[in-house]
Amino acid sequence: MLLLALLNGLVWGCLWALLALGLALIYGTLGILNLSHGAFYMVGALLGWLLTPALGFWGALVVAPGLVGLAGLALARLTRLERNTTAALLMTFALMLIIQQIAAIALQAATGELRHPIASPVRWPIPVGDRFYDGYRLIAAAIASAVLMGLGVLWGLTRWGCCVRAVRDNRDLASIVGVPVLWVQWGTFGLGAALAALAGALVGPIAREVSPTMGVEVLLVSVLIAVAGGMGSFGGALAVAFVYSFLENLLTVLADPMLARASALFAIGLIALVRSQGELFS
Amino acid sequence: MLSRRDFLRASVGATVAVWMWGGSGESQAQPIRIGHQLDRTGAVALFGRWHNRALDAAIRLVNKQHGINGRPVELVNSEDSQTKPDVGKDEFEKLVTQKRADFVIGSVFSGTNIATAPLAKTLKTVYFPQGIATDITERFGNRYTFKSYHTVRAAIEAAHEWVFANLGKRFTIVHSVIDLGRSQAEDWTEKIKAAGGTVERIPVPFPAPTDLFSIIQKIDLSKTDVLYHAFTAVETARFLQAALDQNLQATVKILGLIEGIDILSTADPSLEGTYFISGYPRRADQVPEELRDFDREYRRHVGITLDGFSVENPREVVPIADLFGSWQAVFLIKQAAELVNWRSKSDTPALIRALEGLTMPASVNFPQGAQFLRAQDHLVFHDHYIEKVEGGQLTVLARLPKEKSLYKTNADYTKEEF
Repeated sequence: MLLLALLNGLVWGCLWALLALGLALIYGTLGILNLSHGAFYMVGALLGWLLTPALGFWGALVVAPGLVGLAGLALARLTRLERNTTAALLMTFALMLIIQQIAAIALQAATGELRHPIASPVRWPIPVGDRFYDGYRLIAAAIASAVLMGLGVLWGLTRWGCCVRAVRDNRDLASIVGVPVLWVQWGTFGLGAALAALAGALVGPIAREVSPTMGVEVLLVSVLIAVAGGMGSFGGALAVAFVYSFLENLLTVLADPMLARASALFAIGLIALVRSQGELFS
Repeated sequence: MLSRRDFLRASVGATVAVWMWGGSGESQAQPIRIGHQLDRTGAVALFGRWHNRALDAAIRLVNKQHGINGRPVELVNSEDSQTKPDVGKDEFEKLVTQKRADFVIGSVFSGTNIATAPLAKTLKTVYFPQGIATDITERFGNRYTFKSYHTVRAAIEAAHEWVFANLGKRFTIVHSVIDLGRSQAEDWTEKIKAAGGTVERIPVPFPAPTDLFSIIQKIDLSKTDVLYHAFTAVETARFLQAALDQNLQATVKILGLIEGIDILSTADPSLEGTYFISGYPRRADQVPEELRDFDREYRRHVGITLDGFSVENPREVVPIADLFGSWQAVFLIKQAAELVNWRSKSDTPALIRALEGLTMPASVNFPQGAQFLRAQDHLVFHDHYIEKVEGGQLTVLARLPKEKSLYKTNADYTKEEF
């Protein structure tokens, strides 16, 4: 039982990391808390489902985040979110509501209902003791891990990563040394949106459904993970995502499911608190 | 030649005559208004739409049957109760005070029913809640609330003996924490313990987590004969899918109320082999022989195929049994109103007395079969069925007569003042 809980914790850790990392990157480079992040996640799942009949699930998994990423880039370029961070907060909140309503109308028109079931793209039950583990989850975790590793390489070893870190640390200095600050910011917004959409497209077959509100359900957790990980910190977001995921899965199995999420959130809230005090005192 | 005075006299006389004739005609034709606390959005929106359709069909049939006491009946809908108790309560008030509804058929959402019940009494308007949580008739009902379809407790009372004898007494109950789930868990626990069985309860937050894998893992298969689930429709589908992922369908007997899959196709592999307690068979060929003529008419009026799908959209499953609550509420109003010659809301106390203890023979008006309305708790009792998904279709295994669902109630609304 514990083995399966740990395995599932690992899978969800990868997925939470994808989500939180997008949020952390956007905050790091633009200085805004993107409240429409959950909406990008939902659109990823929705597009993944819509494009599957035409492209197949794996094709949709590539195209859906790409489309959302481009839309995110265009959105950041058009709205110039970086100019006023307070206004940007409200704007991303409004954007979330608008996207959610559009998705609700589209889903209702297409299916006649607000929640639509999604089938798993693979049927691969892996026997573990007297239970089975859905092999698709391992595939989803592998894809998420590969993307995270790719991002890690980009972040640490490429000129792009260097530019992003420079913008995060000091925008003025970055600009003086020739970093195209605005394009880095807009590009990072697009990348963050694409990561959220990829997470949504991967989670759809695990959640077994797509609904316009699915983004709201994950927004709070991903914001907390990103905050506790240190906004703008690649490694921090990754570490806290796994801590949260393991805690939630283990506590659900070992204790009361009603308390599991609350306890896991409380734990990462504590991490955020300790971290902020550390920064205050340093 | 007509003088000016004669002309004025004639004009005034004609005007008064026309006014009186028109006024009395209007009074005679004044429709009886049945309001619908309609959820157009939220978790029960699909149910809301179908209940509204059943009400519309029932009212059209009533009007073909010369209305109620010779007066036509009109359906007035609320804007949107949104599956939210506070909003639903406000919508009820608007229906009664602004749209002048004489009777109101309630939301399918139990929380909204419980929030609205006290207001029904304050506004002295007979209210037919369509949620099925036990507390609607036990703790939160009053003299003005009537349940025209079963509650959780009635369904469990009807089915428990069959379930214990055929499926087992060692239960694990996985349930949502909302009224619908909680009341199922509580009522089953009482029955199981009284029968000497064992029960493990796993409450699940509402809305349910994105991934139910860890919840399923909590089920101890070595101590479980029956895995009972109590969720809303979409969450039931996700739960059963998560159970299939861990191969539980092959290990334990899975049971639930039909309300959990009322709008779901049974062709999904995750439903194969699972058991349900229902108020009526989904498929026409499973309906008892003596009810088939009424069943055919009911399906035709509401627009339901013989397999339980929408006539317009053959992929859309209709919550056929659940709709009886609204359909039959209209005919309960008709039957009681005609018994007491109901004219206006001042006659409502007499109508309530007539409803209390009313018996209804099987007919097109009551196609679910013969029923009776218990005076004390204002609950209708009808037959139940045990159905199993076999080859992707619901098949009736047992018919449980309405007397089996009679449980001892703690309520007695007949003692309440009007």
